[in-house]
Amino acid sequence: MKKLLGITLGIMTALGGFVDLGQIVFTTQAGALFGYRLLWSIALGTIAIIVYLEMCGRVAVVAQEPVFSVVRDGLGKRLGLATLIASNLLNLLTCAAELGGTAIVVHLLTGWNEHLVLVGTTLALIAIVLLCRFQWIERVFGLSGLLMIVFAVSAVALHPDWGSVARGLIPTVEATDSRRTLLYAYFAVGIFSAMLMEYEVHFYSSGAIEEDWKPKDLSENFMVASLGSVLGSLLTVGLLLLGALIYLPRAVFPDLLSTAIFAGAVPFAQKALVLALLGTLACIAGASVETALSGAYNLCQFYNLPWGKNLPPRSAPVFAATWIGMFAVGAIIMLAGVRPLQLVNFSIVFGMVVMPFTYYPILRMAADKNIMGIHVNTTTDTVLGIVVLILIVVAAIAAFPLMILTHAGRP
Amino acid sequence: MLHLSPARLLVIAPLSLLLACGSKQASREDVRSDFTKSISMASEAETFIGYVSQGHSTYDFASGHLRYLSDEVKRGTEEVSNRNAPPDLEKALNLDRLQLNLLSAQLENASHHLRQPDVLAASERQIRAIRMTLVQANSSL
Repeated sequence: MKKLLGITLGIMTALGGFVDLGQIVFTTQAGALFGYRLLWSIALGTIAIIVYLEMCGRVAVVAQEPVFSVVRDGLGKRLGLATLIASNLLNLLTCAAELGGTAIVVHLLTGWNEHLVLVGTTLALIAIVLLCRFQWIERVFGLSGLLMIVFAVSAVALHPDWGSVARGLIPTVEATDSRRTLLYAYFAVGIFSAMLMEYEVHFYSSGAIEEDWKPKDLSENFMVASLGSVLGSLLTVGLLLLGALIYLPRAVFPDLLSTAIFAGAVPFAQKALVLALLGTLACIAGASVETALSGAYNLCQFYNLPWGKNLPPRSAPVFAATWIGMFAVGAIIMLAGVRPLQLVNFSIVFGMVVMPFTYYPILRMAADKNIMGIHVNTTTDTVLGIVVLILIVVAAIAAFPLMILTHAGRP
Repeated sequence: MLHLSPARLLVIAPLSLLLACGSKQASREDVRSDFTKSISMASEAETFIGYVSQGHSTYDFASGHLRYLSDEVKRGTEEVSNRNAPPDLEKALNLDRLQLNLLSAQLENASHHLRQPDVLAASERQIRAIRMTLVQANSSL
């Protein structure tokens, strides 16, 4: 049972990481524009995140080094500091957007005033993180996020052509015209990026230390990283299928969170709609918790300050003040009238640019025999890590030009 | 010569690229893109109102989603109004703006009659006509 519950770290990391506000809308849009043809980017992103989640979990357990200590040691103080600033800015923007998304979902569920809901949900999330131990946070958000399964069920209920779905796993070039080609590339890069958002590895490696994993638990590390990611990936596939099945034939470009949620309920009625709303709420709220905590983990790990969700706030004051501050500033950004989806789309692309600076030090440390001993990368791990890193660098270089050329993915 | 460290480059590069995006006169492609968006909004409104009229949505979701959709249509109208178009595209943009205004009115009407299937069905028909007009205008661009 303990092992089963341990998987919730992987589930929460993956659901909060790549079934968050941005990914829910982004993937539905990809399906609405290109049918099943971008499924390969979800498959690629899943392999990539499993490779690096496993690696950063292993480094955290063996070297007792969470990601931002690795970044500081691997990149040096100046570049490490720049990465810290960029990563935490990204965490803040994502946290703000997820809080905005949470308020939208609660408003759609209850009809209550959106601004009041935003303040109320932010306070509620602060209270949950303050009062619950780390394990309970991951269980609450990880397990309730499983309600998102309604999206996959809806997609299956609409009878997709499974042959075409399978063909979508093979990358093809969209060459009808240059604008479509650029859009296709933008969405491929965006989906890949959203699945590899840095806060996933920050949260996962810190979670492994919070849960006091030991080298003997390393066999579970791969299982936790893989199962959580595969589950998140299947839900993401469900969203893309819904975009393709519901919105592509109707020429709808889903530009709202509520449009994506509605897709999850189309084959059914009110109960499915409520389940879709609750699942989305759990995932988006989980993502806001993940990003707020990641911001605090990063800062404290970089400066070697005491950190840990299970420590009383008095023993880790900077840690507690940082995650509370992330929630508070995030809520203020949203109250100022910024649209959550604009913010999250920007953070997906910006995240891509910062990504190599987070993933390269992890690969370097995981491959260092002096530090990792018998748990050092195998040749396969390192080759896979290098291939993924090359893809990340290529995507990082392409991300901003593609965003500009496609007007942030506008068809 | 200006030397940029990797750390500075990491911060400056994305900002410079963002600042490089400026506004310019609308091209035929831009106007087509506006029409695509308008058709998308009309099609979505039509589908959703049909779903609501069959009693498949909760009241709060229908009310909230229609308001978000209505805000989106208003933003779209504003974007089209602010387009700096050459004379040969002006007529198309005017038609787009007019249809968006009609769509906005229908969304407003539907959101006030969420429990009246007859009114919703009438709105759905009106929105279908708006969508067809937009599709026709787009294909002749």
